[in-house]
Amino acid sequence: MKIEVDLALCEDQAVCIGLAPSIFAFGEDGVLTVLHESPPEELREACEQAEAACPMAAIRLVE
Amino acid sequence: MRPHIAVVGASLGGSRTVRALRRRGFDGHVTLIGAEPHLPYDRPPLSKGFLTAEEATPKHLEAGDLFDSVETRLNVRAVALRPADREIETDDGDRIRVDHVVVATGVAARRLPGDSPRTGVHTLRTLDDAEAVRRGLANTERVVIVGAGFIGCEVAAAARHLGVDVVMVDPQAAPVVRGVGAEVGAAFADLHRGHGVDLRLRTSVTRVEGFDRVRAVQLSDGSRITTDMLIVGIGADPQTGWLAGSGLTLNNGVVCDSHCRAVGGGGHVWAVGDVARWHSVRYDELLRLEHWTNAAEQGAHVAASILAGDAATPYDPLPYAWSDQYGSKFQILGRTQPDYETEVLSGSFQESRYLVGFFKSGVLHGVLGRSMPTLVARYRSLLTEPADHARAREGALMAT
Repeated sequence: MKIEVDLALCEDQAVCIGLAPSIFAFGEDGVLTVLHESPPEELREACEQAEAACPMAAIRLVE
Repeated sequence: MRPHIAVVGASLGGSRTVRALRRRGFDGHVTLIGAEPHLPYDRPPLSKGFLTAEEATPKHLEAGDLFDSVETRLNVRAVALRPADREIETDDGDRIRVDHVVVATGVAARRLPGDSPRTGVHTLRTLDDAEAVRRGLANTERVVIVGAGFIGCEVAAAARHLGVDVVMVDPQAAPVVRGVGAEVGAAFADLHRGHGVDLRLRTSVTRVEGFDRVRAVQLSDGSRITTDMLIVGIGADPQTGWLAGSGLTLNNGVVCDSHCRAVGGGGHVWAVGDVARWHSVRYDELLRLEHWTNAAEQGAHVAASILAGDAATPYDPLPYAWSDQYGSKFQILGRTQPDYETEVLSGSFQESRYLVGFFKSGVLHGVLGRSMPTLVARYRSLLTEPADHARAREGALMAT
């Protein structure tokens, strides 16, 4: 499982940060950062929730 | 025979259902029925950036190849559902036999009571509506917006951005009262007045003048406003007319159990999105949310539940919604009923950033943040704790 974020779509709503704080964070430059691009399987559910809930549909899980 | 799942309604909830079915490996037949002529598109921008952007380009949901992998029937309405026969009837005379049906027919914008259709009077729900509003705003000097809910407020902000005079009329004492109550509503009143909106509160439209096109409106405060454009944003009703006689329980939406199975549907009728009124375990009441995020999550959840059979779990999200007005992003996480007690937990209404907590019986149930996305995100854990006032205040000390 790999996480892709389209930063051109991201509007900094931080929904993903709330749902999966160990995966997503704002960097020091204020831009969304993916902390683990290939997260372990036990975080799949949180990653799927973040993907589904992203208001801009900017997050994609790729197998 | 290959199993067949039909999804009635081709907006966010419907398209996310279809996406999740295919992603989870369902290789049976899927039929997606959409009343509009367009492939699924994103609605939130229609009352926001779509109205002010240089070019009116709808944002489509999903890549087109998803809809090639299913039988996508646009410009078609379902007109009847017979759960016992597992059959849907469409307005082009077809009868479709299915194993499961997902009802995702959404809501329809409410019109002014007794108003006849005339040029210049708009509601805003569909892409076609938004294109008409966009054209109207480009060609008017003054718009009257009826209803100061979130849609009305967003359209007011867009109109002011375009330099159009705005009169916004609402019978309540403040904007967005039904969503967030009078105290927070007062901050929205200040916001809109500060941007030049002529806000008429505790006021209603008593008469629309003009035969084939609107010329003026009369208000309950005795005033008369000359205008050639009226936008009505007074709420929306679940589109359940086609389900009359189906045996489903219809009461302000399709009433469902905690798994989003429709009551009276025999276990193979489901509902998602704005039309679904399901039993929320978290709040122990029937909830119907007209929020983007709910439709997205509910569609994905129901698709998984259909495929999981007995292993399905209740759908129990923490509600989330957002609104863009005058360059600020407002975010609501959890529940914010008008009768809840409120407390400003960070910033103040005099500033352009703040966070308000909503408490029911002393327990934090929701937050509304203005331009504080990181803090809103961090309240997600506090909203499931449960947190009292003191704990909620501590939460605001988390770094932003």
